[in-house]
Amino acid sequence: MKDVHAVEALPMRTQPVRLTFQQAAERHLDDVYRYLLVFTRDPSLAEDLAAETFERALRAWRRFDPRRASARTWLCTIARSVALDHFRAERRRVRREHAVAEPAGLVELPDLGLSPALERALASLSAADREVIALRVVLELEPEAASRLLGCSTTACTTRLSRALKRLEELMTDDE
Amino acid sequence: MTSDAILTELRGLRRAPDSLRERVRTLPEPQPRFTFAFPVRRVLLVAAPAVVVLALGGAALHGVLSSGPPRPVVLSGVAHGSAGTATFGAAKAPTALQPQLLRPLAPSATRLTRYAATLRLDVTRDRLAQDARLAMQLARNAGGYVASVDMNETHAALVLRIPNTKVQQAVLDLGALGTVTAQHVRIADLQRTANLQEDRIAKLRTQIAAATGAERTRLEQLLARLLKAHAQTVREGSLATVAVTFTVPQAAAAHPSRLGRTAHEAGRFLVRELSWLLFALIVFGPVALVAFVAIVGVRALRRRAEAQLLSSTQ
Repeated sequence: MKDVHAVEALPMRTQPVRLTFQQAAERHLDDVYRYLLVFTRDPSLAEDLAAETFERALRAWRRFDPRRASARTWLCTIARSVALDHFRAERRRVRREHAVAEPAGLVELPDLGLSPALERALASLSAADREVIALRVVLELEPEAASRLLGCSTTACTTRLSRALKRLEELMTDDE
Repeated sequence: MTSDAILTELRGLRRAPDSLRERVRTLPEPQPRFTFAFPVRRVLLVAAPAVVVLALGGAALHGVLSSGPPRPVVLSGVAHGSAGTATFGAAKAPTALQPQLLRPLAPSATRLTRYAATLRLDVTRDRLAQDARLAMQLARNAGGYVASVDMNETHAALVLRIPNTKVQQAVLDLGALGTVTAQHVRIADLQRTANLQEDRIAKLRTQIAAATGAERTRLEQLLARLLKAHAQTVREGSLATVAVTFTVPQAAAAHPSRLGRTAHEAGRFLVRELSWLLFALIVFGPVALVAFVAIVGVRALRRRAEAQLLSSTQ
């Protein structure tokens, strides 16, 4: 397996510049969407959450400071907050439903555009594992930016990524 | 599937759909608004040294302004009396100017009074012994005597007994021997005590004339004791007690140089500033600490809840 050092050795990003909101949205829309897609494993939900992310970002754009974080990291932070709100609401909803009815059976996995084995493996991971993979592998964020976004140390972030990738590989090996 | 293949496939994840792109494109561009970002770090970088400079400058300025020549101090006195007693006093630090000696209260000419005066005088070292001798002479000339003397190179303490009729002038004369730094007069009425004693003596004499044997002896002994006490009261009411202390002031301490006074005042001001700072730290420190711990605690709890939520979400 390729170790996490390959992810850490990503090229450094250029110095962030002050973009207009539309420029930032156009440039980082795919990143936000892909982050939410891996995080939630639901294309339509990811689309809705991404749209809400940009609406929130529009309202908060005046507070954005490119010296403190890149626009991409800032947008991902908002996306994370939106996703967490969604997960909390979803958990409350599931609890309410469990209180009045039996839980539904197996739900068909939505298509993420990946190989079935990888999609199944991703589905078996926790949202926390998928999040760190999304940030460090899919978006190729630097360890410092990813750790700041996750609210943990760089070492903890690297460890979490290493374990998530190892689990993903094991799940795929088992699947084969 | 190899790890490389997994990473490559993940990185090749689909892009945002056009529908989302269109939704985002319909969002308006935020109107630019003037916002003032308070440069906390820069302000702190400037403010911290500025506060230190202000504190030191303030102390230096206070030291310079407070280090002028010593202000002349005029002795002030307060007189009050109640139920047969009266006090009259004044006390000030030694000054460069000759302070005035307040004219002491005069004892009553018609009633017996216990009169006590205290004088504290600054004299030069070479005049100490001479002034002490003059004070003793003064007491004797007034018809009194010297009750006690305690003297060394820088200090002479005398207790003089002077007839009440001449004590007022004597105190004035003693005050002229040096620089008065403290003056205190206390007057207490003894006439009532003397009158009571005289009434009791008269009654006893009547009883003795009528008594015989052992009773008469006992009353005579009692009369003798009463007569002695009465004589004591009369003597106390006729002789005032004047305590005079001559002191040689420490020249260096009394008149420090201008620079020394400036440094002293500046130091005192700095100490006062530090005490204010310490007070603020004591008052607001615990509040700030509790607020900090609360913020850190809330943040940790929130992160923990998020981690639990994400690890339990598939």
